[in-house]
Amino acid sequence: MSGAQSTMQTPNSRREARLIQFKIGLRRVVRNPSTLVGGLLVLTLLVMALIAPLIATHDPMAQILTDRLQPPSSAHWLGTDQLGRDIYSRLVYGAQPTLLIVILVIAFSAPFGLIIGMVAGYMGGWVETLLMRLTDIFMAFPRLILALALVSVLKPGLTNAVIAIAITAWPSYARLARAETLALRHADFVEAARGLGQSGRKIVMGQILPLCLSSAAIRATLDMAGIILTAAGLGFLGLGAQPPMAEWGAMIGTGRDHVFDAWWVAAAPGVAILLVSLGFNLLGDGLRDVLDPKHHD
Amino acid sequence: MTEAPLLSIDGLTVSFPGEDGPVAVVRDFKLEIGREKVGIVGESGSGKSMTARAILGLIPKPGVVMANSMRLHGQDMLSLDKTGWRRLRGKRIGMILQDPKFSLNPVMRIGDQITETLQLHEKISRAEQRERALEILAAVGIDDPQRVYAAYPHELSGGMGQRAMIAAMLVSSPDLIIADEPTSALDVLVREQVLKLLDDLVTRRGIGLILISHDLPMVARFCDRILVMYRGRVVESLDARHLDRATHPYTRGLIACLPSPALRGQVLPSLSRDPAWEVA
Amino acid sequence: MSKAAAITISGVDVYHGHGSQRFHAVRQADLTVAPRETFGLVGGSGSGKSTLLRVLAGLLSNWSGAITLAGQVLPPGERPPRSYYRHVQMVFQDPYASLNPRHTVDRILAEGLVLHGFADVEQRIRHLLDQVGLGPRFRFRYPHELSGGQRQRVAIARAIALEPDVLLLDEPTSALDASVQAEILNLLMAIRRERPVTCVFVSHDLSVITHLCDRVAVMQQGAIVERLSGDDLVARHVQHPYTRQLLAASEGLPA
Repeated sequence: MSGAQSTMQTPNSRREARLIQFKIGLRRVVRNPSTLVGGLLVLTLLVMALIAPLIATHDPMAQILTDRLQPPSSAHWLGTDQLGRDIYSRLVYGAQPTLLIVILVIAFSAPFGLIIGMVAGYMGGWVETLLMRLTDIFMAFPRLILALALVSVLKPGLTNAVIAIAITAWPSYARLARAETLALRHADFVEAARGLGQSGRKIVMGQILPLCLSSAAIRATLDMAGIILTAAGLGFLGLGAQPPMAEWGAMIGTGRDHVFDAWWVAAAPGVAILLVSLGFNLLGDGLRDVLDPKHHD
Repeated sequence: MTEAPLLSIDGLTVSFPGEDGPVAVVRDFKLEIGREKVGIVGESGSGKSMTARAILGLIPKPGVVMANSMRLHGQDMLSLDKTGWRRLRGKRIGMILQDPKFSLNPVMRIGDQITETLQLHEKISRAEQRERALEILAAVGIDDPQRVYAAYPHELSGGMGQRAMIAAMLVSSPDLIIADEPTSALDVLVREQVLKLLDDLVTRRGIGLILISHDLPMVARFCDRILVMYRGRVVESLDARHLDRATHPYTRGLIACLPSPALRGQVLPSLSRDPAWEVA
Repeated sequence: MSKAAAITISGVDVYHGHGSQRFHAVRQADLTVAPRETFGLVGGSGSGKSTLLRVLAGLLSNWSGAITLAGQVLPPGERPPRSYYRHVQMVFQDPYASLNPRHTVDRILAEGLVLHGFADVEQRIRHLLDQVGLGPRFRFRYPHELSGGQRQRVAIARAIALEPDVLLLDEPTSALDASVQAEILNLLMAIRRERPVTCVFVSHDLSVITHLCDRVAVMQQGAIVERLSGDDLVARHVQHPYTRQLLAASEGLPA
């Protein structure tokens, strides 16, 4: 304790205080091997999505029918598909819809689930019963099947895939937030905030939310792997991103017909999905070691 | 004391890895204890609890324990492996911790926890086990042993829980009890009852006791001698009846800063720490 | 402030839980505390002393009877209006639990000031940190970077930030080392000298109570069993057997 204090810089402003905390967190992340590997994989996905036009060697939509189903070569690093499109370039561009789906799903489901769970945990009584039963109902649906049903009712496409996945993704955040809130509801610092005259809304958002965030971040990172798989599954079945958009699941779907004579068409996006899911899982596990206060003394 | 010491420790050092090499939290601790009550007093960070943990073989992982010698009844403790330590803690050394909730098994009835230990030590029938357990519960001053026998730890008040823990520990009739802040979660009335109980047991059964606390007056009333620890080091060893003969400025400062009728409503002297106290 | 009492409590009953689980925590409590007085509430665990304090702090609403605090009528059975909290603030027992681990000292102190519409928040925070003996270098620290005594100073700064008429202290030193306890007690006395504040101090430690309090009420199983002056306590002029027991226990004498 005293050792930590002596090496600690003294922050002089709010921003500096946050920066120091961030640095400490970053140092812990880098020291943890699984977080580092996971983080690098996820970072690669991010960079790929952002600078796709720069690193792609071909136009992902350009069809050169004479070059159909070419095996990997120096001209086409990962070969070409049945329409003569460059698979490497499609893979690079495919990072965009993948990342977009993940971000949109988390952006919808995490805040919604957190609020439902925190309100349930803080209010208690019939509000809690109502909200948590609702959560249970949504949690009971198998994710892929609900997504399939929804997308086929609405209309296949990226947006509807996002909506379908988000609807099944929020309950886990609600459960998590409720559990954390129940543990914190009568903590002295929450009582102290009440004793200052803070309203219930302010206490939930200002006192309880910050303490739920790290476990929600861990949950979200671990969830992302599942979201990617579900999105790819929808794409594979032709219910997610629509052709000619380069999306990994859809790419596997079209590669399926040529698995025996041109394995690279399905294998390349398959490996990409595997690596990215693995990356998110490793990062999530590592973040849990780093962030979760319950894992420290 | 003429007989051989129960526990003798020399040069005990406990350290943890820090950013710039190992940090010693206990330095060069030395103690010989017979069938007597020894208090270890110090403030948070003084290393008193780490000393207790080291004697129990309970220093958590990156921590390193070193000593010139550590002997219980002449048996070398430094060469013990995990099983050896566990046997030692179960049979020879009893421990009482601040919060009974952490040391009793929360999903087991009190009675079962006591009979479980009984089974380890003696081969007696179920009925006899129950009989013995009830006796022990009564012996630690529990008025309705039947109820406590069937209760789970969370159903007991702080004082009751502490008594139940003492009972569970007494079953194996240890030679030495280490009590780390056994009463600081209790209110004054219950505190005195628990202390009285411990005192009776120790005197009657001839058990050695190490009482660890931050409460100097309480330890002084209860123990025979006192070791005062500061930053991992014993700075003074005192006869408990003569607190007023304390010579170390830290001990004197600890005594002086307590509220007393003479200082009522006045500014209490604050303890100014001298870096020189940290070096022997 | 007028000559009227700072706090009047009459016929107050407090209940925990509902139905068959209902527990009568405080029974028919009557108390009057004069302005600027420091009043001690003493008792063992389960005596109802902390419960009564939480009612005064506006943290519990399941009570009946009548309470007036600094001219404000505390409405039974409901949460008081925000303005009530401006008049009364509380310091909790465990400084490790009473500060939000994710908030800096700055935010902890700013929260109440902003909520109650104080101007010059910046300046007040700086002044508060000086007042509790911490100084500006602690302003942007997180609670885990502070010692127990420093945390309790932050909690005290938070409580006095709103310049309350009444300060409620729930065993604020019982989790601290003796030397830190002395510093915190000194700080509380300094605050009392500087500002016209009425204090209610809850503890089971009679030496601390005697040190600070002008008058004392002894509680046992939810009821006030004896009222004393601090001088009575020093001189051991006590009547009730429970008070005698407490006195004996705190000095380690047979009752």
